[in-house]
Amino acid sequence: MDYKTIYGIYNDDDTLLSAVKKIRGEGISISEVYSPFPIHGLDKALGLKDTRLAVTAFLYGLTGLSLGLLMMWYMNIQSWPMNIGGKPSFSLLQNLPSFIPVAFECTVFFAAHLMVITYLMRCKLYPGSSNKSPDPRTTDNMFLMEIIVKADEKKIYKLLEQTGAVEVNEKV
Amino acid sequence: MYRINKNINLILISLMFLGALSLTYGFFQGRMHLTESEISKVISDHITENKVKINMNTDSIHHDNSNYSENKSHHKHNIHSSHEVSQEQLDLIKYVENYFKIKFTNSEKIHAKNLEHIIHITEHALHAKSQRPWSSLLTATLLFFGASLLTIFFLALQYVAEVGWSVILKRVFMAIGSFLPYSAIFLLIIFTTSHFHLFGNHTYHWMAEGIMNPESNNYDKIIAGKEAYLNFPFFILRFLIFFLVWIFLFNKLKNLSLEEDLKGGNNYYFSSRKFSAIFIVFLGVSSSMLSWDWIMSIDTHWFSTLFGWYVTSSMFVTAMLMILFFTMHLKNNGYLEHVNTSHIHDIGKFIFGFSIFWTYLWFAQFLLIWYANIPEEVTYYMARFDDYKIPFFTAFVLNFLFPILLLVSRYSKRIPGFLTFVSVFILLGHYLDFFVMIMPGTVGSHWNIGIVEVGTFLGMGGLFTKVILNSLSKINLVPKNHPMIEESKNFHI
Repeated sequence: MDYKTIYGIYNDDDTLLSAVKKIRGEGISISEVYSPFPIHGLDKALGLKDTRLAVTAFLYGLTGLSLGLLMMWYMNIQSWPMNIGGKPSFSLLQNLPSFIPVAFECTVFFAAHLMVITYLMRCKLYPGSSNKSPDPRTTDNMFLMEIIVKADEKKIYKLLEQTGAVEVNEKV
Repeated sequence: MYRINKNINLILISLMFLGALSLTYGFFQGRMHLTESEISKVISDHITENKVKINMNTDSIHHDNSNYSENKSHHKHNIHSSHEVSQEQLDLIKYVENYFKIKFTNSEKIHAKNLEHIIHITEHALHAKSQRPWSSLLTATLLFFGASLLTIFFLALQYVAEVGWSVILKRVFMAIGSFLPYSAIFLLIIFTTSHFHLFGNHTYHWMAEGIMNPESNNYDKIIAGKEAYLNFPFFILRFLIFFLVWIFLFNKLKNLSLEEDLKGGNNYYFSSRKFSAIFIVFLGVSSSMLSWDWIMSIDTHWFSTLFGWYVTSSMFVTAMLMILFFTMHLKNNGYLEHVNTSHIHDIGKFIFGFSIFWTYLWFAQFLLIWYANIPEEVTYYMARFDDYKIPFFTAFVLNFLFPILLLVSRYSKRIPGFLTFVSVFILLGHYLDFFVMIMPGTVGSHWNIGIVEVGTFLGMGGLFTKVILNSLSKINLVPKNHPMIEESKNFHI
């Protein structure tokens, strides 16, 4: 970690957004932005890759669906055969309509909970985890842009000030 | 301003012509309206001429034309009461099929044990044949009528929810809504001919003669009990009230928007919002009632409390499909330059979401009836599972599996070509959905998707498109002074 880290602090989300565009346009990569609220279009401006959370949600949903059906099969067909809706067929396929609501609920349950857990894990958020923001004001009224200096330090300073940063700090 | 391409105009006119032609063909096919005694005479003449030996045993059958459950039960009763079908009887059935140009289903052939039965099924088949063009006309009309009505609902929704993104599409919604009076004409023709039994139209069983009269042979106690609601004057009164209120409110919205173009100011927006709210409340009631009146009353004995929502959700998906098709048509021809991927994406979300909603209602209606297993309710699904398996499940695949597998991802909704491609299949799925709602109660097992059905669908689609393109060519495609027009032009997600 020989590189220096610089924090540019902004007090307006629109200024920040145009600053991100300008600085990235100059070929300088921004490692992170901290903001008190989500800013529309910031992920695109930062060039972030699209989230793969949707793919995991689909897979979790499939897991929930199969586990739900497995549970219903075990409870109502295998372990304790039930006469469902006056149709004593004792087969999963023929009784499928009555299992759909349960399977659906399991799909939603698994997709929702596992998705939240995955999200928290990816963000390294867990009970007792430390605050990652370099400046506590980013939870209030300030926006912070973090740049790891790899090239011309003076140019970065200049750019940050030009684009309307109210403060420029260095990581201690 | 939009101008209709000459070639498109030609195609649309020929489609309408094709529709009229196939409908005429259907009427020509079903021109034989014979009574039971006339059919009986033809068959007995043939028997005496050719000395056919047939089981003349006439264990009398109740004369009941279209109630499926009762037909079912007396077929079953006859399996036990009569013996095997002889070759001579099969030959006779073949003769009857050729003479009247009809086709019996296998189960009908097996159960046709005696002469009276053969006469009975012949009457059924002839009846179905003359009914077919009417049922296909009703199916096609309701499909496009629903698209038009629910597009007006969507327009009203934009005002009530104060939506910004859709403002540049508003004129497309208005154009699609303008089909409403045309569908009213077709529906009125179907209803009145059904009431007076003209041209073989027997769409609504409760309109049958003497069905509410205790002295008549046709008397049906259950249907007679519904007379307070299901009688022709009240039926037509409801029809008229619905259309008058819808058209009045729609025109109000349209005129306010056109005036806004000229004069500007926020007042037009606020009064549009007021009328939209009234429209939505009125539609909440009328959409359910129109489903009971025009579709559910075909299976007069049967009822389902969520039928109104089920039909309305089908109509809503169709409406979103039509909005997509016309938006894409305009976009591809260089109009609506501000419409971008985000607008298309939003329409795609509505198509996806409401397809799932449709499935929810489709399944909820089935699940409760399947689980409770009450005879008077399951007859509805018995008819569909016995004779309509293919369209019934194809509708499910097209309306549920297609959207959920192909449109669930964000990317697929953002590729207009792909979205349109999937949407065409969903449209066919919703046609089949209406088909399966209407056909079993009107033509029973004698259904087919042939020249009449396809032709009527294409013809009605041609008329629908023509009306809408005409309407588009008369108005500014983009509203000028709408308070949220800028938001809509710069919309991106």
